[in-house]
Amino acid sequence: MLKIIFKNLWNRRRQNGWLFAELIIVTILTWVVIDPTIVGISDLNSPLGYDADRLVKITVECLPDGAENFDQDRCDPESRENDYRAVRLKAAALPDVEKCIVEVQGINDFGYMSGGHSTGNAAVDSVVKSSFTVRYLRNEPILSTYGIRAAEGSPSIEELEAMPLGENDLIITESLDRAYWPDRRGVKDKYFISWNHSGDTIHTKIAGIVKDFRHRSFIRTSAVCLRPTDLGSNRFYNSMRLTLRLRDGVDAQTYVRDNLPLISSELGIGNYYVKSVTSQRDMIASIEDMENISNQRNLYFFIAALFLINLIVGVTGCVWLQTGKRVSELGVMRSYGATRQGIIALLTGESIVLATVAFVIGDLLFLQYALMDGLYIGAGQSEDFILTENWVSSFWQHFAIVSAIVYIIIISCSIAGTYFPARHAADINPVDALRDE
Amino acid sequence: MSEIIKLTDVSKIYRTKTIETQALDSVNLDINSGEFVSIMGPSGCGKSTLLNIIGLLDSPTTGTVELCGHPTAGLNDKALARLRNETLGFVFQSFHLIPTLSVLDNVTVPLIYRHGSHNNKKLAIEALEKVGLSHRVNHMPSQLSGGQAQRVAIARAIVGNPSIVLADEPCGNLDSKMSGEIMDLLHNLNREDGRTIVMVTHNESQAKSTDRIIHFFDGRRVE
Repeated sequence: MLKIIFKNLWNRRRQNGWLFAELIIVTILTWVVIDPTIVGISDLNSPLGYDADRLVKITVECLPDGAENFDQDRCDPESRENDYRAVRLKAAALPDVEKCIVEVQGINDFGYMSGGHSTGNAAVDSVVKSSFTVRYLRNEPILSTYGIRAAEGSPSIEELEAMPLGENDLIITESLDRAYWPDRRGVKDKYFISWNHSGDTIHTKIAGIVKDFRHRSFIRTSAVCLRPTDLGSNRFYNSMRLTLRLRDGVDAQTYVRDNLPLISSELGIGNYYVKSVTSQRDMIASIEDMENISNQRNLYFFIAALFLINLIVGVTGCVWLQTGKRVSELGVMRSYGATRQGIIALLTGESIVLATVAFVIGDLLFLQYALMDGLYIGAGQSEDFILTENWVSSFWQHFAIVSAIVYIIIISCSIAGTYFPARHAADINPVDALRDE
Repeated sequence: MSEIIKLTDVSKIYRTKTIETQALDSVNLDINSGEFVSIMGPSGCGKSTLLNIIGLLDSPTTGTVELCGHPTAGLNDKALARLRNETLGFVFQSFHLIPTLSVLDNVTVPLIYRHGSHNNKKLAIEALEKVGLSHRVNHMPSQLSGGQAQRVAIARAIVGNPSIVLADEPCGNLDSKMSGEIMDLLHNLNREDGRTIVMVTHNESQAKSTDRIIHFFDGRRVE
């Protein structure tokens, strides 16, 4: 059977030329469409690395001077300080709240993204690699609030939060640690070296290493430095962002829905009012909407779906035309012992072989482009940043996985496109087929 | 000689929404093993329909067909295909060689569908030797004359060593010289290999050269 398939294809090479060329082009186009879609799905489904389901974000702001309910008597620094502390205490005392922190920058928090999620250039032995920097308030238990876990060899989260970390202490994520010290775990004798404007060498000590987490929900996990910082409470007099960690088993989205009036009334102290309350998950979703990430992802899915439908219709049309010209041949085969299944197998086999050869050529052509320009690495990503080692960042693994998926798509579409014309051809009465001239 | 083909009360009616055509009407037919039978009659009398029913390419509306003593009614597609493959060889008026396959590959076609068949190439060359075309194995059908194409078709019909060869106007598209060659070939297959041959023809002299002539008219067998 395989021999006859190859012979048929070779001898019908002129007739199959267009379909073959189409399949090569389709392979390349499938790569272009499917690669971002698959990386997008992978990004979407990779774990966040912290307990997003237990987090609630509250934005508390101060009424502007002159607003209807503005209390002039409580806008002096002392009253504001007292009210700020009262808001924090009340937030921590809300039902089912396990921890409450004030944040400078949040994780997956769009509001502060523009405030300084810049590239941190960390250098060790003149090697410079890029990572994101998240600043957090010293003494605020950001790690345990988010549920970030300590990496192997690092002090525990409790120990890290109890440490008096200074200006030149850093907590880094595992991928950053492995990028600089691939063979050494733990924090012993690990420093980043940098220079200030005066040319003085600054040693920044690695105080702790934590497991990777997704610093942005819509991009792949990348290296992050957590830098403790000191800001006076007056920095938050006009606006503060509170992150609540709820008790185990309490769903953040349900919590927000059920407790919104209570939160608004409890935290409305002095001139402070609750501007927004949202779960971490909802916040991530709204950020992705604002950033157009969801639309872009949906667009990719839509294009991919449309593309696949077109592919199936195209292949079906070509195969239908081809089988229409082969009715008498199929009749001969039926008269000499081919079953309906045998005819379907023959036509489908030809389609699979044709699609496989076209795929190999198309795949190799796309490889030439990929070797020059690289493969898709994810929305908003740059190869300058240290990305967590996974299949997306490993070129050959990425190429092999997406190639396999593209192949499955091409073959599935070819089979789907061939099956109905093949079944139709197989169902033709051999007498009618042999009458066909 | 034993009966190799037995048709009992076979009728065939083709129905469309508006027309009902009786192609065969209560046909009874016995053909013995090793016979060379020709079927004659005017166009539209049901000769080809009869051949298709004997060849299991079509099923009768009523009546039964037995091949080599096996009733064929109720057999599924797979069993019919197997019976066709092992018992029957077809020769068509318009040859029906597969244009994209070489002579050798065309002759090999019946063996592809035969389970456990080995030495396909050897068997195909032997069949081509029998029809005098072993020197044309690598030619394509388009490179053959009509007579050569029909000889290839005959080689294809006999390569699987079937006991029955069904020939539907095998000389219908050939000139008299080539027709003579093909008829000689069919007679040789009948005499030397003992194959049963059922041939539909319009040609009186060709029919007379066979063991028996069965006449048909309006779907009925006439004596």
